Amino acid sequence: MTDTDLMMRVKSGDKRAFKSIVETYQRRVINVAYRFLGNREDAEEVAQETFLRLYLSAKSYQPKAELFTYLYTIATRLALNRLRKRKRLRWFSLDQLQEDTADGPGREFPSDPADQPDLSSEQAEREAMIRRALDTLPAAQKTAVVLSRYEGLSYKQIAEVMETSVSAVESKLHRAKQTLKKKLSGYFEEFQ
Amino acid sequence: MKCQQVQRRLSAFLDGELSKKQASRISEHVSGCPHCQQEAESLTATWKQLGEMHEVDPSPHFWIKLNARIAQVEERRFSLERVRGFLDRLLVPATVVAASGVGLWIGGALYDVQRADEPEVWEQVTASLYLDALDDFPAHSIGSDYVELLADQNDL
Ligand SMILES: [Zn+2]
Repeated sequence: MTDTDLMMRVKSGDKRAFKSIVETYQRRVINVAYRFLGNREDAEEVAQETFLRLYLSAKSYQPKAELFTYLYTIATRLALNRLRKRKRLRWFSLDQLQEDTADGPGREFPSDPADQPDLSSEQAEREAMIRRALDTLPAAQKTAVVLSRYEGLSYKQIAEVMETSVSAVESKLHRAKQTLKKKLSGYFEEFQ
Repeated sequence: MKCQQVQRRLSAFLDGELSKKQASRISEHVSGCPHCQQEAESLTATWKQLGEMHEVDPSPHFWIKLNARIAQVEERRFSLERVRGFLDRLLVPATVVAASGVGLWIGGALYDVQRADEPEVWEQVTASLYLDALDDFPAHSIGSDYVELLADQNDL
């Protein structure tokens, strides 16, 4: 059965059809949120919220785009909202302010060591550095990079998820790569 | 083609996103231009440096948790609809409700509940995410307490 068939069943209140959609996509949705949030618990929370919204709005679902596009759209926006809230909260936290001055601003990706028990410290360090580099990008560029580089979406699919044009995606990715080139080259020179 | 034009499309070229014709024009220029060649190499290296990020597994109770939340929200929707029916029947003057401060807020929430069932709302469901407009009242916030209070009255 296709996703559209399943969604048509969900529309008429079929919970089993919805469960099968959740089982198919839960891993992808959690991990795309994880790319933004760097914390398993938050990512799972975003994934729950994503599927909840899909379910509650199923009655008005129209199969104009592929289902995973909708899921990515909801999940990335929820994750970005959460990041913004995190940033705002940090404004009010003295500890975090001090941390910011010590390590430089914009630590949006507090990688939780408990999320990565199997990672070597070298790998964990490398990922933390990449997260910090991604974190310096504006939200839309960061979204485009995550969807392109880690989720393997085409420009057209990214444009659908971000509700923008293919050429806008191209220019966001181009600018993002220019920034990342500067940020990452310093790091890799230092460590090689 | 000028270097600047080529470089603007270099990312898309390297990602295999250009048409055959466009790609061959870029490729032709790059192979004869050391400057653009170097730029292409460094962009490729950057993309590679982003590496693979490890993945996390969904918790084994993902569906059970989600199913419970759905039941909770559906229940709340149901009682919000009852509150709306109650308010309609009472014909509470709008000014009095607004004066209570949360009246408009509740009104907005009720409006959302109603709208969410309409077909044309699908786009708004995703669009509204930027505004957090579909966020539920936090437990024991004034909003949720007010709704509960009204729901209780409705039972009398
Ligand atoms: Zn050139």
